[in-house]
Amino acid sequence: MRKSTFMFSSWLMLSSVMLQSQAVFAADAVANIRADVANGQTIYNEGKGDATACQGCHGEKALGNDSMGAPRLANIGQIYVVKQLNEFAEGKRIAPGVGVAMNDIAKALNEQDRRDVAAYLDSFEYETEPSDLKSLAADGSKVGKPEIGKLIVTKGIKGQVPACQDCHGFSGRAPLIPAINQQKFVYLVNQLNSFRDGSRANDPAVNQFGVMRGIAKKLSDENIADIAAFLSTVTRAAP
Amino acid sequence: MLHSKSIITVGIALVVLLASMVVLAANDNPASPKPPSQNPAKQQPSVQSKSVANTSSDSVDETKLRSGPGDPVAGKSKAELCFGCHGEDGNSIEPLIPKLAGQYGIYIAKQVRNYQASIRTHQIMGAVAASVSDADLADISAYFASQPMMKGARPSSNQIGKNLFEKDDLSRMMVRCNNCHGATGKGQNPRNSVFPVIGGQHKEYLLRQLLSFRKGDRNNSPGGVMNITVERLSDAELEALADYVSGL
Repeated sequence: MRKSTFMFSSWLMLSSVMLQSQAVFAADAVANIRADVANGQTIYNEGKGDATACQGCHGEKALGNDSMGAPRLANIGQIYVVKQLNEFAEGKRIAPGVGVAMNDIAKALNEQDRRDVAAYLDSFEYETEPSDLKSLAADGSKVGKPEIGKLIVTKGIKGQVPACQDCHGFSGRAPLIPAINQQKFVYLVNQLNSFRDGSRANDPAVNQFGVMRGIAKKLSDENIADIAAFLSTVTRAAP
Repeated sequence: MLHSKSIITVGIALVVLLASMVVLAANDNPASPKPPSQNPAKQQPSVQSKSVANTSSDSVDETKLRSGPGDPVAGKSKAELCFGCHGEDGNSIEPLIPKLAGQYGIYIAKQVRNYQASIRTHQIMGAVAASVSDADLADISAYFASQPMMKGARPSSNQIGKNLFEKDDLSRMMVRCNNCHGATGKGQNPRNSVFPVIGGQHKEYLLRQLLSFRKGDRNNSPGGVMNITVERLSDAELEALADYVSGL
């Protein structure tokens, strides 16, 4: 009897210590978040468990692939990438076409893996690889005019659409606004279309209105083709 | 003999060099008349869609862009209630009351509307905001936006703050401030009201906002971007940052 009382009280003590340390851990968890580039590199190149290697679609240097509609991921923004992976895993974002694979891939990575991969992607030296508009046009894509796209990207459409660059800059505005210069043509067109028809709805909201959904609604097919033609080929840093 | 010959050679070379420099300089001179075939309009995109904005940004008054849709002159007479705390030129004295001088008009108006809707809360500002009409708000905001830009009393030498302001840290997943708020914390360009002026703001006010963003008491930034940005910064780092930014 005495023995069991002792055991019970020691169990109480032990569990209270554990609870306490758990509370401390929760408070420190956010502050102590770290990302490991080396682990990210391994996952990117070799995959992990049910997650296939990222490089298969996004390319060894993560510059994207127009024929698959795969986006450039290198240097587009670490925290943005983590957010997308989390939302793919939660089913809040579902990509069109082959991109539908992203939900299962993201689910197969734990949160630390997602942070590590994202850190690896932002550790690349900046490289450019413009979309090949000529071959895209030959394959039947409506590629638009880069010189018109430039006007929309840098100046906007008066009274309707703000300049893309105001928010995105050249290298994105971390944490939430990705770099869009040197993004792949097909991906850009798909995203603007998805924002416009609401099938992509994980953009940041201001007063409950999704910023990108609001902007994309004011763009015509022609506008979108022009913007994507410019962004996917511009190589020089603009303000 | 050989010696004098080489002097002559050098002399000739010099003359040729000088002459060619003069010719080159004349070609570079923008004042010299250009052949009529060089049409500068040719360098601009020749096709312009009707829907695309007029692009003569040079002629647009920057202050007007910064002010937003309101009328700064009308705004001055409507802003008297604000002057008591925020200063007549938008440079408040009290360190917990923000300076508004040169702040984007649209940004000021958004904050007041957020106070009206209790999305951002403050006892006094909540009450004051409730009494302002939309039209007056635009004018008042334009008035403060059109004042000379706020400025820190003295530059800060705080290295921790400077590093946080200027450098990303991949391993800690931290992003620098200047990518959005501009190199000197004055925002991006005059028409871009998304990223407010923070450089030269009061240190105490900045620190209080940073702490509120971290705690989640203030969460009216687009997509909660500020909460995400500061969530991993320590008290000491936030203070260092506020110190550095206030000196810009």
